[in-house]
Amino acid sequence: MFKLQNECENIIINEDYLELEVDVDGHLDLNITNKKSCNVFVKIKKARSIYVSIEVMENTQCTYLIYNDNNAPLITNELYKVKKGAILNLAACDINQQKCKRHIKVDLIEEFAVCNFKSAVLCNDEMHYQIAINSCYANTTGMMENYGVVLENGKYYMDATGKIDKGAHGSKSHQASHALCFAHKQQATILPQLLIDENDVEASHATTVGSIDDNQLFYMQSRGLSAKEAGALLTLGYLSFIKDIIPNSQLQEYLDQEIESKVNSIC
Amino acid sequence: MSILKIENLHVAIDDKEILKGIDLEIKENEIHALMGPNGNGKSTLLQTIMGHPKYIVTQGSITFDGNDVLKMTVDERSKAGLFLAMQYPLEIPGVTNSDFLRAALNARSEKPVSLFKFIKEMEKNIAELQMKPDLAHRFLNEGFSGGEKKRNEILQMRMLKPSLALLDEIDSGLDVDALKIVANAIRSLQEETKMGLIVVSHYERFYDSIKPTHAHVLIDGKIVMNGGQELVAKIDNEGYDWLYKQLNIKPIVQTNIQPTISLGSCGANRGK
Repeated sequence: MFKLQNECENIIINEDYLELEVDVDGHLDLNITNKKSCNVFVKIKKARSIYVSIEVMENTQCTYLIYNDNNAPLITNELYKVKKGAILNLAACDINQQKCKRHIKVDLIEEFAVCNFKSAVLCNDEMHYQIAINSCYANTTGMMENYGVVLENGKYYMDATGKIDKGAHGSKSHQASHALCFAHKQQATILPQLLIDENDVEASHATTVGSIDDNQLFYMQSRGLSAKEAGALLTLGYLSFIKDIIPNSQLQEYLDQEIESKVNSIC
Repeated sequence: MSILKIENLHVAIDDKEILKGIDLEIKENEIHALMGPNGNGKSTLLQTIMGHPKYIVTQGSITFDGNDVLKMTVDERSKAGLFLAMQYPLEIPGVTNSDFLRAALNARSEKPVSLFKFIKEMEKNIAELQMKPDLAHRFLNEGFSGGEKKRNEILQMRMLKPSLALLDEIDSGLDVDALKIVANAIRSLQEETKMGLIVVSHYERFYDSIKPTHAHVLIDGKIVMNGGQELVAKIDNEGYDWLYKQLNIKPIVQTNIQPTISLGSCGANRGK
């Protein structure tokens, strides 16, 4: 296990997946150079402010799962640069009961760079996300999927931007964001934006914000689940896809248990 | 002995009265066929017994083993032994069939059900219903064919073992072979547990397999005739016209007004 250090650079990974436990404020700088593909699990345990700077090198594939298990409010500034032919699979999992403000910027800086971004958020406080995937070069692909479950004290704000710069022809920018609220008084705001400066491109956005479907709830209750149990099961169904981002059964089992216990304790 | 007793039940949806005074008693080991033209209140009755919040009971009572069902929440009704196999089972994305069923079983027992026992029981029932083995791991009813959804309802019923099951057109969407499999699965559970059944279907073929002990015809929110298997056969042969004439009832004319559908609009700022 690697501990976060200020200005760590060029960390060499020799394992199935690398686990980084963040327990101080600071910078996380990673340029993985000696691997064609790598998986990194970043667990934020104790920090208030983190700066992330990651480059995905030419023709490599990197998967990052950033799991916020912080016991205090957190602010992050994250910058990812994806080079030629590289694939960045980036996932954010925030299921703790703390304020959170994340600013995530992904620049697809060379041809055929790809970013697949996914987020799973269980929101019981103010959670503010600003996520932008920028196609800065031709034939790049930015995909975004966001899922948020908003509980009684939650305020979920998702500003999701897909940007295609002038000259980035043949690029794709697609995004879908969904928020599930447990009651009418909860706040969920999704701001899907497509900023397109080129003609020969593909772009789309989809957004849903809604409360639990009464008929779904009735169906589950009719099998003996209380409203609370049904809500917890629906929440797990909504968020637990995030555990499969890194294909390692031990990590998946760990995340499965973590998510289930957090959901059951909060919902 | 489990007894469901419905007395003078009046039910409304959006201030429109649908059920206009139903009296019915179903005892353990009895199989009641509930027939009637579409749109006359059969599904409303079953959904009301199960406690769907859309249906408002304005008058009357429902008791199960002497307990006031109308005071129970939906999950309490299920735990008391009632089960509704739905005409249109809901799709629940993200929740697997097996997780759902295990949660439902755990919700009604003090100790969590052993995983080994659960898997064994589920596999046995899946095989009996000739369902695809991967169905347990797929999201609840999502992407299921009409027939698969109906079999899945019966799978849940067999796992939960209710004292009284309400089957709402469980035969619709099933081919001839599937109908036989589902009917056998219902019948075998009924023989094993002696559960009571209220079965809504339009087809004698299904009732032939289920073998109802009682039959009722529900028209315009009221039970207008009671009988046995012979009543099912007569309706299958002659329809409902003879009943309308005999009882001097006017059939309800179904109005099929299409609601206005908004196609929505894209929120993107197109600029000028």
